[in-house]
Amino acid sequence: MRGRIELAGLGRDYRDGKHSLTVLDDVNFVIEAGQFVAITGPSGSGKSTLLGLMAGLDRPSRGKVIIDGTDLGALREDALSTFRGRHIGFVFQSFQLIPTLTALENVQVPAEILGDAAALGRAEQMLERVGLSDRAAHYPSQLSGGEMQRVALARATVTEPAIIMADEPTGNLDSAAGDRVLELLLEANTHCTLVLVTHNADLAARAGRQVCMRHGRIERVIERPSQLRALA
Amino acid sequence: MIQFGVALRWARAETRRARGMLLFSVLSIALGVFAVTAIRGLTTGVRDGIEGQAQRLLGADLAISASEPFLPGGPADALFRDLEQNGARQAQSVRLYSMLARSVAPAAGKSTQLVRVRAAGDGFPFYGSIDTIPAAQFAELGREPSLLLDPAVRSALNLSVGDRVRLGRLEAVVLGEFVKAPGSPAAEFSMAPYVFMHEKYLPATELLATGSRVQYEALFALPPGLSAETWKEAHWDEAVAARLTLRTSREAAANVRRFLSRLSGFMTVVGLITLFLGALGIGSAMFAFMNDRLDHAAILRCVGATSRDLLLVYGLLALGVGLVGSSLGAAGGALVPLLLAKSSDALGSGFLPAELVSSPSLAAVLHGFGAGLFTTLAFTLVPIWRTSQVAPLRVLGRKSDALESLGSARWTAALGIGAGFLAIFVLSLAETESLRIGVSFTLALGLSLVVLFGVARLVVALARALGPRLPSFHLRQGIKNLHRPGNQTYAVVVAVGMGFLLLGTLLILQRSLEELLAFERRDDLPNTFVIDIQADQFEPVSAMLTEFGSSDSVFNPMVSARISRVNGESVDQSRVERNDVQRSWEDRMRTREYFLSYRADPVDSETITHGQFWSGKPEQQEASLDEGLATNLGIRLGDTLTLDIQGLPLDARVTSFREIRWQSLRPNAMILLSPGEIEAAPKMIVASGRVATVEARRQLSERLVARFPNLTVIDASEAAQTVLSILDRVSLVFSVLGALAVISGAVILGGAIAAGRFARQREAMLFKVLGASRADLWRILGSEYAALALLGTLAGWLLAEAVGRTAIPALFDASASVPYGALGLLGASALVLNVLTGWFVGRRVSAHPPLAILREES
Repeated sequence: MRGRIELAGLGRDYRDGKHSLTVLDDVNFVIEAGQFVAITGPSGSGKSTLLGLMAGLDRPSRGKVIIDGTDLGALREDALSTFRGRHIGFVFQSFQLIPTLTALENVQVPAEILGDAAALGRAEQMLERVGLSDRAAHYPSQLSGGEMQRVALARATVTEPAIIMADEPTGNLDSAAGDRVLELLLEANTHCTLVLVTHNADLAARAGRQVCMRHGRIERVIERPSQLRALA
Repeated sequence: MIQFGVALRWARAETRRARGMLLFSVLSIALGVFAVTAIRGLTTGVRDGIEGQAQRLLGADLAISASEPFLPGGPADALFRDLEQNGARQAQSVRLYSMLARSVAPAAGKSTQLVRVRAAGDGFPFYGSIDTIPAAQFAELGREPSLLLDPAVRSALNLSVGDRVRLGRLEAVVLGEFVKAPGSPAAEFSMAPYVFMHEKYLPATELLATGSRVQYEALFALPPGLSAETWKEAHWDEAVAARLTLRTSREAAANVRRFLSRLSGFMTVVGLITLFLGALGIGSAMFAFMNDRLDHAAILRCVGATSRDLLLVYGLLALGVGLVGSSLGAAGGALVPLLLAKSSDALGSGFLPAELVSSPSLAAVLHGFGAGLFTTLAFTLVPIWRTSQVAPLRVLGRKSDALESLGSARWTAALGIGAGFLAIFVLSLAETESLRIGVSFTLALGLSLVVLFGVARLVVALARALGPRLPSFHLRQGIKNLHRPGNQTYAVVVAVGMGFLLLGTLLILQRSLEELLAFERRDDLPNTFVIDIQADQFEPVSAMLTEFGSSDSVFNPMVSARISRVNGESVDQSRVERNDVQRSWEDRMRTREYFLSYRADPVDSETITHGQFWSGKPEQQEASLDEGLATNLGIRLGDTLTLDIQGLPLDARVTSFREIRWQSLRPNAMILLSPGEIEAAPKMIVASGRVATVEARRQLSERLVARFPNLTVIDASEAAQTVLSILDRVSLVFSVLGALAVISGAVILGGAIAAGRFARQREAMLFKVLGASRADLWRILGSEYAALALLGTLAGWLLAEAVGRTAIPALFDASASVPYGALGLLGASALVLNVLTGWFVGRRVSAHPPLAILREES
């Protein structure tokens, strides 16, 4: 199975005029393929920054992100885009659907970018899997929050990526809709690595490994055997 | 890289929820392309018309002209023989200005009229025909002393067929009038209306006195196989040496073509400004649109799209907008010549010598289309590129870092402005085909924009400072809206300002010229000119002018001459452009015949710029030259000019240069000599004076012409009417183009409103939640649109006044006259147009229930 993530000495600084602000520092750990890892911590602890770096959405100030043997820092901008398209699926708190495309078209986008005919053919099936085959022709503005997030999930999985990265995927949803999305994420986790950033303790407790962040550093890592997860 | 079809589909998808805004982008570019295509189509139509009808316009293949008659054994003989030996047929023609008088003065109304006489010999015209009313009278001109009149002359003197008139000493009968049908020799443009007569009766007029301004012409129909151009090329040097001018039918209507060429140059520049405004519209709308699409772009990048993919998607979108806009504009512009051909009276009956070619010009359409597409891509490239570079991190809400890689906004703006100006330079080069005009236009536009932008900033800052003090809540809020992020305030103010600047300057120029030419009111200018006064007529003419109360009468002797040598060297004519249509003013100075004058003292209407003006009557003949003439011919102080005065050489040393204020209307000469030998040369005298009333001028003209039929009397007020009527027609064309520019401003405003629709809807929703009624919202938005139009108008007005008040004194030596009423009306129209456009585009803003907007935004 693909989806191994290795972080070594990872750090990120931002410049604000003449001042430099370190928002992430000395992050080292490895996520094995197929794991479900939750990254938790208070606001401003560096969770989203870490997710951005792991996903290749941002460049580290120092250190490395290696996914399945590929050093993301060594990739040029466009190669990084293509890498993301092939290896990583994303789910965001604010859904990030393209409002001018229908639900089905949104799901098809990654497949179209990769020119992956098989994935393109799977798009309708993915919508069906998330229970939205009857909403395929609807625009995001015509869907509820839970539906939009399920479309986003279908989009994240349509190319069968090695990793799914989710940023507060249930943060904007009510509990029923959140549970449904979590179910789908866990189902996806049977085929790929799942990295989830969340404030939600219950959600984090479902992960096999919980990375707790504070002040831009890893404060502690909680490992959970599968029996404990089942209880959670 | 994504497939082309996918990119196309996404580009199309991106137009959803933005079609209103994109419609304004399409309209922006369509208006510009419309102007460019219409102007090119019109000028191509006129040019093709003249070229296609060239032989019929000249009535011959070749014309040889001179200011002296063609006498046997004269310098033209060898050329005539050569043509005859080649089998060419010849006809004579003479042109001169003179006064036509009714033989019996009527009880009321005019009895004299300034005319351009064309005396043509047998055989003319070789091509085409001159239609007359009654029919077939042209061939009858040789039967007895008779005339065919321009309809304007017949009407001015109230003449009928069979009436008797006097031309010089010749009594002639009126045969009728000729039809000024475009594409015939009768359609030739002249500052005075034509009358036709037979050449054999011309000597009887006694108008051909030595020293008078007469143009003699020999016209030739060449046999098949003999090309007029080839013959002209082979005999050019001989003709120049013999002081003859050669003109082929391809150079027919050269004056009109040169005038049209300049006019089309101006129109092209105005058209380019409209296109630039269109580009500004599409650029600012696309900038707003792309800002709105940054999130989409970030999502696409996040899921694997490369920056090249995004460039392709949004590039295709811009290309689509450009394609639709350019197609609409080019199609509309192509129809203009068709419509104008059907109503050519409005454009210039009696002004255009040829029929307008009324089929759409494919070249003009392709040109306009290409210009539109190029402009669209040039002005949208930077916002598209900026969007394609967006960092995917934006999806995580890190918007402030998302454009980090693009460098500062200033650099992006500088890049956009640079690309825009480069495009404008390339376009102006392509449109005007002149590097000089291209550079000047780009610099002038750049300067205007910088000033307009500066003034716009100033007035917006002023509005910001004064806004909070306004008593009305709606006004205060409307003005605060100008500072809404992404509001395109400066783009709209600059666009409205640019349109107002164009039309405002035109109105100021028009009013100033009207004032300048209002001879009745201007006591400082002479209004009566008497030309061709012979030496023995000087005393009685002077007495008659005094009798009619002419104040400030001035008499100037005029001698026709050419510059044959400077310091013993012939004036270099080897590089003179041989094509009459393309010959420059500078080249004309090298080849032309001058009317020089002589006097002892300088006059008020000239300034000595270099050297010393002679005093009294120096021993040696001295010369004072117009500064421009001296610069052009490379003549320096101390040089010796050898003048050819009707075949006799006369040397004169150049001792001073002058700047002549021709606007004073005082007769003057570019070459002025000191009194001396020149006094003995054959000459005519020109008199100028001011006669108070129209009636007095009419009576003076009748008395002078009755006593001295050779004299030409010009009433400047009448001549000014001719100039003003041409000015009116030209102004009409510019007004239409200027109006297009003002409409472009409104379209840009519409685009900006459509682009900022959501921001306005959010505000409207908030106001509604806080208790505002729909009427309140309309008032707030109306205040905002009115403020935008007012500020643009104010900026344009200030600049138009500055341009008018600087340029008019410099160009016409007169103060600028600002038509405040007309400018106010124009400003009010711009305001109403903008407010109505704004309300129309934003009409749904106030209608949306707050919850619906929340839903749309989520």
